Amino acid sequence: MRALAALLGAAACLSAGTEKFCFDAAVQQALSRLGLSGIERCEAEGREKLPAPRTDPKVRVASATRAPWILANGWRFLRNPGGRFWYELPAGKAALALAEAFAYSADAGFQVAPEDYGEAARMLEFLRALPRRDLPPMADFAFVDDGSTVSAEAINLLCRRNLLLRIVSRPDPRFGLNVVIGSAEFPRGLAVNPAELAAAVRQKLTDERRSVRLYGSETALVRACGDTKAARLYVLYYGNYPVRGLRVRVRGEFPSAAVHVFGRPEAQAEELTNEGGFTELTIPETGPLAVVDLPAPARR
Amino acid sequence: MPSRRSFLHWAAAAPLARADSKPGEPHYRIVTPYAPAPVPGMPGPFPGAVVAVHSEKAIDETSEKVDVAVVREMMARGMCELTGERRVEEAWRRLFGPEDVVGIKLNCSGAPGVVSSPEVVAEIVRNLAAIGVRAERIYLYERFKSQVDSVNYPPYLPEGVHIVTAEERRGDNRAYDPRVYVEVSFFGEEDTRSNAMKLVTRTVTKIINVPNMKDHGASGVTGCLKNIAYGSFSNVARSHARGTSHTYSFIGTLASVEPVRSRTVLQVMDGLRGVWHGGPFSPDRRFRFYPKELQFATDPVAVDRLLLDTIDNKRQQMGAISIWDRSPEHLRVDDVRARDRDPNVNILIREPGHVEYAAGLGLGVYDIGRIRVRRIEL
Repeated sequence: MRALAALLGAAACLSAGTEKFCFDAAVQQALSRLGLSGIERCEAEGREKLPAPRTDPKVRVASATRAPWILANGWRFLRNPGGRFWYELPAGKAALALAEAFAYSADAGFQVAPEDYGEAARMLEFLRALPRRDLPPMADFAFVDDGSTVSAEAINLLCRRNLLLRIVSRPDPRFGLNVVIGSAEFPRGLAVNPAELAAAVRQKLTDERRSVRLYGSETALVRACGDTKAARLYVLYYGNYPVRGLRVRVRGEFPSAAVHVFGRPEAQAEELTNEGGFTELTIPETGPLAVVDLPAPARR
Repeated sequence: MPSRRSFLHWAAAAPLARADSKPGEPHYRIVTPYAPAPVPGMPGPFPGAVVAVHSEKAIDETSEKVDVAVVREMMARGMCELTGERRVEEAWRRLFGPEDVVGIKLNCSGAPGVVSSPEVVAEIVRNLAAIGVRAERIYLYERFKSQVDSVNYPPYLPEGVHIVTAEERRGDNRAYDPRVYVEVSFFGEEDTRSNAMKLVTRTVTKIINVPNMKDHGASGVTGCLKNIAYGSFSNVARSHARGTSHTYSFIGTLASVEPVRSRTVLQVMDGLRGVWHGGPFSPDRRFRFYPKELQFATDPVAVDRLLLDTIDNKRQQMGAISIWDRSPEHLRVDDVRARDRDPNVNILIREPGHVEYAAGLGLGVYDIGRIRVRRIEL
């Protein structure tokens, strides 16, 4: 298999920051009153409406594991990088939605429940304070998107399984693995069940060759950027309670790591090891978003 | 026989894959920086030896009150017989010293009905103290805090003894050692690691394993092997789902991981109470029975080999299907209510063969003809 973790494409992981975010009138006023500057106003019209990010333990369709179903939107952002999106968020989901959209540099508008105004402000301040690192997105394989609903569901589940993909319109020879629905490797019958397709992709890719793995939660998803010299991971957590002791494995032997955890300014990477071309570290506790920078930026 | 296991000791750089694979068996990758002791605790110095001490007076079946004095005598006789020592202190000194930090692996999955009896645990602690192990160097441990709390061990213990649980809330990983784990995929789950508790890898020098005599819906029985394995590692329930149980190979594999294997030097099977169906849980007394027995060994396989017969004989006596039954007509996948109503219902294909599998890993003696059982009646 060709070298994995090909780092391709011009689209940076952090090209926009929060500049592409906008808010409905009430939220805009509330956030401005809370002292945040540069809060743009927008409407739902003309934007693709997104489900609120969350887990749903009741939905187990196509699930090959005991993990709850994750409603995440990263796959939509990947599939439509020029899209304009709209969140209408129930209470408790603002921070995760902002984090999710930020991780994918999405052009997103938000309607936030009034009880979440404070949390939304804190997340925006957290995101704005992150060190800026423009890095290319990380991908372990290419997925040829034919625009069908079958492809959509496949991409959705591949993302939810933390299988790092790059969406292409035709097979890309720079990748060792190209997933083409309808091919001999990935027949359409297989793709009808996204869980089976994801399992097949994972089997061909092999876990050993994946650029990023998370251990300790089935409801944490990663958006990965960079290469073996510099990397940033956005660890989005969709569970209802903070996850403790989340272990991260990333390709590249980095001597240090900086961890930025929303709501936990004291957080530091723990138990960092380098072995066999990979770095592992533990995020002691995280809620909706932890950002891992590898290596840690040099202190001034 | 064991198969498809690879070991990665950090000192040794490359994994070693075993060639004698069995089709359909998961591929295990063991990662640990710990080397085995010259004489690993399992099976320890007495492979194939089990001392079974029975007393009708050990527990009152109506009140479930344990007779502390009888337990003391049972433990004294059992330890002396196991070690060949005449004095109780000398028996304990064969395995422990004041310099040790001792972990006592509880079993609280049947809480609060059938657990490592506080009276038995307290007697172990008393014996350790008698040979100079300070209370501060003794750690009772289990994975789930809610289960341990429901038992309420502290009133039975001297001040200073620690009670440690890994998961205050289910899924909490912070008490597990990221450097010691078994990696395996059973059903395509994304989290493929099961990590050992830090207490086991970084704090204790010796472990005393105190399981119960219980039936288990996934593994046939849960005794020494399952208690030390599934009770010391994270993320283990993933091994059984939708009618299929990988406990057959996973239990022994986990138990063989260093330093768990080397540090687990004594098995005290608490058979004052038992569970003949519906285990490991025991929400009411319907499937509870009272063997009134304590067993002492260093070999977990030998003890569990006897347990297979104990549970199966009891089930036969009660008119229930065997723990070895694999027939589809008795299988109602994931139907816990049916299982709890009817002892002739399995919710998974049970894997009592896990005991023999563990023997294949060198953890002890499975051949009943080679197991030496010394029975003592008080």
